[in-house]
Amino acid sequence: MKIKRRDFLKLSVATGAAATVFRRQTLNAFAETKKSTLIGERPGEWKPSTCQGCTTWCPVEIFVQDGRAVKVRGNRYSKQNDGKVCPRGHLSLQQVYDPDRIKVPMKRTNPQKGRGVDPRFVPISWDEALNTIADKIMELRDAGEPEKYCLMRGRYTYMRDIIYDAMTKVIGSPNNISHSSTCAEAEKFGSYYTEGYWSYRDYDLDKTKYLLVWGCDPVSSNRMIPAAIKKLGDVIDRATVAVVDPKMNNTSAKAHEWLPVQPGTDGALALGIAHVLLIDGTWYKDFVGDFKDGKNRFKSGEEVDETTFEDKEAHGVVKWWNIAVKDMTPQRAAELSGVSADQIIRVAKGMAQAAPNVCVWMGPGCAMHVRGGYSAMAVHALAGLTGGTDNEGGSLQTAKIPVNKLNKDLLKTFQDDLAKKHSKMKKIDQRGYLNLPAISKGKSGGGVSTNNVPNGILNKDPYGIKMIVGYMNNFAFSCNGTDRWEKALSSVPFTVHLTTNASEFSQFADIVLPCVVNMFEKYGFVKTKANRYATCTLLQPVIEPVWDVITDESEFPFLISEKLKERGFPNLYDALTTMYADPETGRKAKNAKEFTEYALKYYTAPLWDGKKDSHGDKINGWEEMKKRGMWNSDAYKYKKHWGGKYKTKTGKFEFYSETLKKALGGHAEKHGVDIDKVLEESNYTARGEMAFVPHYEPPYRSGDMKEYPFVFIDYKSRLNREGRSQNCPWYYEFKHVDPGDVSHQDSLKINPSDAKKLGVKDGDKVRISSTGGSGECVAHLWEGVRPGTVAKSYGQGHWAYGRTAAADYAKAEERGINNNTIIPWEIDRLSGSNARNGGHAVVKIEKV
Amino acid sequence: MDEIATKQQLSDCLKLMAAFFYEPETELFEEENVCRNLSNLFQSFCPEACISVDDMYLALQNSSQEELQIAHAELFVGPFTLKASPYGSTYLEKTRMVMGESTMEVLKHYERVGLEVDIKQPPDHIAIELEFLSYLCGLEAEALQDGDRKKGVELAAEQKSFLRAYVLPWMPQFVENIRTGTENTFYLCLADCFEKFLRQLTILSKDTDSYSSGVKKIYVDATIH
Repeated sequence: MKIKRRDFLKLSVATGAAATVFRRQTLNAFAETKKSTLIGERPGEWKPSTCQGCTTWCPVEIFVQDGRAVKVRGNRYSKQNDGKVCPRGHLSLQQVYDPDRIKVPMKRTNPQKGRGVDPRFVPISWDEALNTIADKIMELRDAGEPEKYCLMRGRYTYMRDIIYDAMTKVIGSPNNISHSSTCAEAEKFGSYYTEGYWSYRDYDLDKTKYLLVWGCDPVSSNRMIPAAIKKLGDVIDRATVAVVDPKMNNTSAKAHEWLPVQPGTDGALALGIAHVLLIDGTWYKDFVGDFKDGKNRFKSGEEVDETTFEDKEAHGVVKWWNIAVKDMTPQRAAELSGVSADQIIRVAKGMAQAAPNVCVWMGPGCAMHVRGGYSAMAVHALAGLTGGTDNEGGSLQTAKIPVNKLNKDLLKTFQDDLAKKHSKMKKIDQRGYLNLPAISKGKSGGGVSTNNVPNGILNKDPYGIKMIVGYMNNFAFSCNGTDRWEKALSSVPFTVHLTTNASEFSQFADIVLPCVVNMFEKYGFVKTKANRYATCTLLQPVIEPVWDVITDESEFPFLISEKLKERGFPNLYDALTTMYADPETGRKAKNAKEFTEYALKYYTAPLWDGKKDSHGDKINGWEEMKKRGMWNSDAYKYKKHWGGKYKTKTGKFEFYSETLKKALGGHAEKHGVDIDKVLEESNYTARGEMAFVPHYEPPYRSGDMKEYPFVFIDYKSRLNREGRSQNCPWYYEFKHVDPGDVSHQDSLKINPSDAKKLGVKDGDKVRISSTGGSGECVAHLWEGVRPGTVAKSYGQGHWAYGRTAAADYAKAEERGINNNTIIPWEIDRLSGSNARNGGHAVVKIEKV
Repeated sequence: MDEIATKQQLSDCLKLMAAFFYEPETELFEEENVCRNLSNLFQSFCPEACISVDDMYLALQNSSQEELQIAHAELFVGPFTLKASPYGSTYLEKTRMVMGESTMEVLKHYERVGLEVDIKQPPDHIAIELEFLSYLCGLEAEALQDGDRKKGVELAAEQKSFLRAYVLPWMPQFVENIRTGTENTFYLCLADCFEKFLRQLTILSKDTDSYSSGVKKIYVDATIH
């Protein structure tokens, strides 16, 4: 904020002189206006956009009056949320009007980087910021090392292609690193290596007769929240609801069954349920198949002859039984999981009775473990066993959203030889290394391993990184093992952070750039699904931003492309203006704002241009699309993948995963080893045939339980706008809406019997320590966690953020303690995921 | 000194004070004699603040541009903890947000005299509010010059109303935040200077002559800082 008119500083009259007439004062912050009505008199308007407070990605409407956003509701056209939003939607108002937002571009003046080291940021002009960044990119290209540029992507819209793919590839780097494995890649692993679907599932709550929720809390988080809030009451009346979660959550508090599983033992519990379904002969035969003579041969502990069974829509149930299920009796499962055999049997029988209208809602809690891949498969296998996969009342895949894709072939034409060669180099997250298969969609190294990036950077393996551009991310807070990220980021010479708020990641940045708050200030689009409807919903700038911000995914690349062109490298500019010309007029964008809208039109055109049937809402042109803000598909058709149409190797739902066998085999072959060696290097215990079936892996614990006697449970608050609401005062005021939590506290839930042994009373300040780190929080005695476990919500514990989120930035003092400091660094190597669940963090608790 | 000149000088004082809450530009301040002019203006209007302005001048001479920028950013810009939020609503309203109800009231005052904010900042930034008061004061001087005493009275009342409702209530906390938020001499002197100036404005605003008729009550709880 600079003085823009020098005359403003001149006096109207010389001091001491007699008054003279002076007219037309020089204004600096003001301009003259002639509005016929005043503030408060003008009507407001509901304007459509999209909430990205969680991954439901709700189509919303925002009431805007006098240029100010004041209320939020669901989009009236949405067939997912029926015009409703969850608490996160409302909380967003405190995000957009947060006084601690970044207001102008800033640069670091202290070259030393580290936690607690003041970067001494000062404002700079946009021109200086963009010139500096462009110079750094050109330095890398001129030195023939563009691979040392790294783009780190946090939350995104599908406009991500521009900054993530196009910009990175045209510069010539392979390092576009997504946050995705922080979220739930291990969960996708579960559905992919059973039913060939690398994505989150939809859930048919309207028709379900048995809802088995596993490792999540659908009314609080996990991808269709307003619908879950609205429907859960009816589901409880109509169906049976069972929730597997090591701590009581909102859904389990209302459910018929709560199965408080010991963290990390989900695989055993799932197999125990499968065991009952099989020995009882109650698996869903129209899907799984049956014994040729109709006689059930599944008996505890006994092998079954495969030839006696005829598969139907599924593949290999007998093999699975023989390898992993036959010995997992409910009693054995109970010993391992801490859930009683009676409850296991009861749940299994209930599911059998409801089959095939069984909805297995698998969440990250059963997947994001050090050894979580098979656990996710085991849970999802229950959907297959009960015929509830891709079926009425079950878990579903999605209807198509016919938007345009990035034209990769065209993009390649804008890469010069340097870019072509270097963008194919190994990536900094080491995906595809022997000990990091990250076998997304069957391909060795096909998936990202976000949390392994610091290892790549610190070890300069495959090479050093000299420049990072991070957007809407805070990996130094959101990834477990925060100390490793702090070290890695300190070592990078030049980092740019595009963000709404300065955070721990910005602490290591050389330039921070103020960016839009997605829901209110940005053009973009996302694809989502719920209630059988796929949705494309637009993010739109419903208000004029208060500060001088840009759109990260589109304006930033465009502005940089102009600067690179000035420096004799026009490729990015040419690529962007050609690839994203206005689909209606063919015009090329002349500025960043025009470019952004053209790009959005390019992607979404098939939904509104009327050229082809979109198999959903009929929308007449771009203006109508913007006005509605969204498009709904037709309802998803059940059993779309039955009849051998699953995208697995066999075309069937695989209990014995030929798809995984091929993927692991491919990875092993690439490294010249056998699959057992791959599993050994990946920290899994399975050997031989066990590697290809859903099975129980003993949970991994990072530390000696004699020293760290409690298993730590991490969970998400229903007020977490992912990680972006901790500077909102309402977050703390209403924190009690999370079961077991207390407002204005970072509550550590301890079972009263454990607290008694520790001499800890409710409200005592305690220190929690693991092999990863240590910090202070407040003990809350609560029966919602079982003895031997403690639970704390992710979110608090910022040491570098705004006034509300951080206790004392100058002293790097946290408000509470970040769960990701307590959870030591670990990953699930098969999927590449961060390991945050499954209880690998073991802790000790001391009264302070 | 006559009334018109006094108003003109007060208008100048207000806008020069506003200027100090923008990014510090030593060279520009020097070229435009901002400190010297303010010191001169204060000699009749607020003599006790002269010494602070002189100290500010010295501090400007002895600080590097970068030191001033860092101190200014820490206090009023960020990017981390905003040590002395320059936005009225963050003090006047319970939830410490920008663009609150009080901000819209402030905006209404601007619109009423035909102004709109022309910089990318919430309308209740201290620099904008001070400029607004300066503008009103300038208009008042014009009215008096034109012999339109009624208009002059209305404009004076508007200044007081605005000052009492949207500026003065948060000033003690704001000044305190500057003091505790920096060790930079220039901004510590600015806090001293501004505090003394505000004291003078407070005295003026309590003057209950004909001006008081225009004071409007607002619904925002101004006691919550």
